[in-house]
Amino acid sequence: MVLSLYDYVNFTATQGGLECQQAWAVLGEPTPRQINQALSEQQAALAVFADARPRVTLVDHRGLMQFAFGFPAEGIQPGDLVPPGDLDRPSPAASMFLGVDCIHLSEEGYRILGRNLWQSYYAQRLGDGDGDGDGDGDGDGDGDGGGGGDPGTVPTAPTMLSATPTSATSVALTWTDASADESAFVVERRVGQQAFGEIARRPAGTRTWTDQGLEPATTYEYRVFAINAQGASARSNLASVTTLLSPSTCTADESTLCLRDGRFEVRARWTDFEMRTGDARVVTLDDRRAESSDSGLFYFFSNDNWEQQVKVLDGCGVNGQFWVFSAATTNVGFELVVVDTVTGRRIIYENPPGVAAPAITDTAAFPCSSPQP
Amino acid sequence: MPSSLRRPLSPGLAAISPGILCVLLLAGCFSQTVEAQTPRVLLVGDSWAEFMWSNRTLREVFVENGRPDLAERGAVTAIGGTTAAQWAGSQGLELISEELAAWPTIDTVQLTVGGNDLLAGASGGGWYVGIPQQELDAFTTRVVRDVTIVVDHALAQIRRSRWCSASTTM
Repeated sequence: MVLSLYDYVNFTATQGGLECQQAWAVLGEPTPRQINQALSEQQAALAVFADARPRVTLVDHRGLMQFAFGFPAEGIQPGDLVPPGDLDRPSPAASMFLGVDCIHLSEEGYRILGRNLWQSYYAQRLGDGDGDGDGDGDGDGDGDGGGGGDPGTVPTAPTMLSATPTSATSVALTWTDASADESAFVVERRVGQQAFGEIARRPAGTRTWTDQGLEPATTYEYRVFAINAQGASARSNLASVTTLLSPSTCTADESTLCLRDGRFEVRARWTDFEMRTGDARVVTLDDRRAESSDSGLFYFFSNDNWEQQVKVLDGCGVNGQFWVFSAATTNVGFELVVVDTVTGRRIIYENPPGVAAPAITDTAAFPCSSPQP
Repeated sequence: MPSSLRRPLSPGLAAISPGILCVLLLAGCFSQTVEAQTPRVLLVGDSWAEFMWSNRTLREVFVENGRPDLAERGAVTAIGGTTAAQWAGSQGLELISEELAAWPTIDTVQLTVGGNDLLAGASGGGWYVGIPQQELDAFTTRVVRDVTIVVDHALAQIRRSRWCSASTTM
């Protein structure tokens, strides 16, 4: 039995979205420290309960979003804030659902929680099928690949490996250094079902590294292990990632908006209640496309029935980001896909069928400058 | 944490929102392709459990770690907006029992509750800025008590279902 609790909320950067203002007011407008402290105290009480029950494991997720996403605009990079993180900060807006939900995490955020659950619980509970659940396949249950685990022997395996695409040809890796006696970290990579091969060695204490020279739109798997004079640790978790699409140009057509002088390609696809799907079409008025430099209009079923307005705004002077805003007057499902043709970065905003579409107010959608290697 | 912010649910656990219906429909379709996977985990709790179920997060992590044969369930026990108190009530406990009985290979329950209790504010009996210590203590005691009820119930059910199905030890 596992208690999977929470990471920090974000009432700081999400005041415009999804009723967050009201939720924050109900709590007496807490600072990040106040609400983080309250969450931590509740978790501490449950930890006491769990500690007294040998069949119950509590998994602490606090600070994982700060660790994985950082606050790059403030010079805090992924990997800088180690869990449980900085109580004076919320979870980063970039880690929240659509960037505007004050409570829920993005799909990547929940994936990070899932990996934490694996490392903290499931690897031992469900393991690797060799019966001991240690993930190393050697059957001795110590998780070290057969070499022991006592002080002075091989280092402890790194954990929480996470891979994030930063361009069409590069991937940023972050991991947790769980040992105090490693001499280096070894990074391994593979494509498909090929064998893993070593691609880098990084000094002791390293927690981030960027892999470059990759193929666009290709899925890679990574793992990391630590080494010292006594040998190698067990491998970290696997991190799978797909590089971004190659930079391209936007070609406007009946289903494609090209905003901000063609830098951003915008398309949408709808799904109705009977799971039928189709491309959204650009609204036309007197044979003219409903499109300006900043914004455009889509319809799903009829040119008279406008469903979705989309804007890509230049927020570079404010926070160094292009912003994506959208309002859809529909409860039909849709996927709104916005592609930065300069970097290949793509964001998909989803609304399931049957849910009145919330406003999209993503003020951290695309960095204004190209990512640095 | 509260999905009442995103997808309000009526207080009764028996109420099924359109979103949950959608999840149920998807689960029905999905089962066509996952018959080889063995359900080992039951997700129980609020919207954080529901998001992990909707995203199939655990399934993805199992694959990442070389266990594509494993799967989780959460179609009827991962419900946004729910509180520890609701899960500790008879309807909540019954839902857990029914799912564990229906899926006897499940031997782990992953429980995520307490967030909605915390964020209910003063009017909802939750935490708020300046809450008196005595009130905070009573709140914390109540959440721990409710979690205890759910945990004990689930562990008893898991033990029984394991015994009936002669599954692996816990």
